[in-house]
Amino acid sequence: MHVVIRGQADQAGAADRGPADDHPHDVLSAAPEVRVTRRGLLVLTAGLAGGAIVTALGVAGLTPIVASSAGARSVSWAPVGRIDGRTSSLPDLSAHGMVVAADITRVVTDAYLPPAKHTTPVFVVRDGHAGFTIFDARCTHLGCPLSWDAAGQRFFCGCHGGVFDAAGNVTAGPPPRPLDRYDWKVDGGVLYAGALHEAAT
Amino acid sequence: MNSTTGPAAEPSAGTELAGRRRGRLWSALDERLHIRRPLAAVLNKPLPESIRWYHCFGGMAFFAFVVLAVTGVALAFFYVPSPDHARASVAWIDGSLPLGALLRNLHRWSAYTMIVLVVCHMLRVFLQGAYRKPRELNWIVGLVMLLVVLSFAFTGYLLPWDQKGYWATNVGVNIAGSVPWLGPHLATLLRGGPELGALTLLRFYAVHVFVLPAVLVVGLVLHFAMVRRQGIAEPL
Repeated sequence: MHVVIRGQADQAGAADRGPADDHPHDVLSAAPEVRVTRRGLLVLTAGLAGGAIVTALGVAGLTPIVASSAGARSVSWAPVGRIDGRTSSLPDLSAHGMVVAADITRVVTDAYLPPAKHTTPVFVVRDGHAGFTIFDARCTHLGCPLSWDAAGQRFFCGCHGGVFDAAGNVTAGPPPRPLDRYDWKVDGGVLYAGALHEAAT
Repeated sequence: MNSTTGPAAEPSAGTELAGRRRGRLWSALDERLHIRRPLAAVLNKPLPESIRWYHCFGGMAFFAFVVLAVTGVALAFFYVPSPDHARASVAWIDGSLPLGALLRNLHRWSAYTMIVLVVCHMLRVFLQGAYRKPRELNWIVGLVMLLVVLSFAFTGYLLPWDQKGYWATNVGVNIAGSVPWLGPHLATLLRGGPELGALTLLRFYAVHVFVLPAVLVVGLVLHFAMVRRQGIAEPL
């Protein structure tokens, strides 16, 4: 590679450049020549330094914003209701085949706020002696809250008219998949909700 | 860069930088907006022979301001200007936010650095007599911007809502309160009431992130435009 430094020629102006300067011949090598002017080198250096600064600033500015957005949803077990009919502050879930509105309350740490209770509405159905279904009470279309229509035995979404049957399957409207469900377990007569799972479409 | 342009195609010195081949996008933009020539005129401005390293203080102060603006916008994603959350949000930025401590310290140290650079810049202009006619107006704009920069520092100091910031602001507001006649009213206006509290924090925040940046940007545009118009002063 043949490099020609032309800083002086640039400053002196084109008129002072000799013909030999304009057409340097390298008889020993046929490699393509690269011309580096003083100005070109300075522009390149300034450009690289500027690029490094912009990159560093971008990393320092964007990393906190992107990384702080990547938090995971809480999956701790949270009490939903009592299943043995005993009286407590929790809802009574002893009846079979009924859709009962309940709440999951978890202690959530939200960024800089002190840990606080966060309540999520759910619907609980006792299917049998040992079986439960805990539905997320939000429509799978765009997340609007659902209401249980006991007379029609259906879940209804007021936002866009999504309708689900008591088993959580879509019967009308725009929802793309059945209702989402929580993991569940029973311990000491109390039903607990775990992680939320998206139903298959 | 410019590895393919032969000598015969070399444009004149005035348009050399911006006039190089930059691909079809650049050509298409220039064809529609005619930006090649004005950009070249700006970028290829000749400087006098007398330029030395100490002429860079102003530009470095401006760079510090750019860093402060970028990190400040990023911090605004996490900081809460409320007495019950300010301290916790700052502690969370420092301790839990990924690269949060880096972000906040970039802002802090750039602020310190900017003050130093601004003072160095002013001393250079003063010692070289660069403020003299015809550049008096630019000196005055610079003095206004000095006050703006110091106001940035004063308002920003309170925002972490720690003991140091709280009492420093108390002292600062009381100094403002010692101005004859107007003082008590000035202090009340700064505090947003008789005592330093929620409204003080909120108005210091609003001034820090909305008012002062706008004023400083206007000042910078005037400052740079006048330097370009009048050229850099020859030394005494």
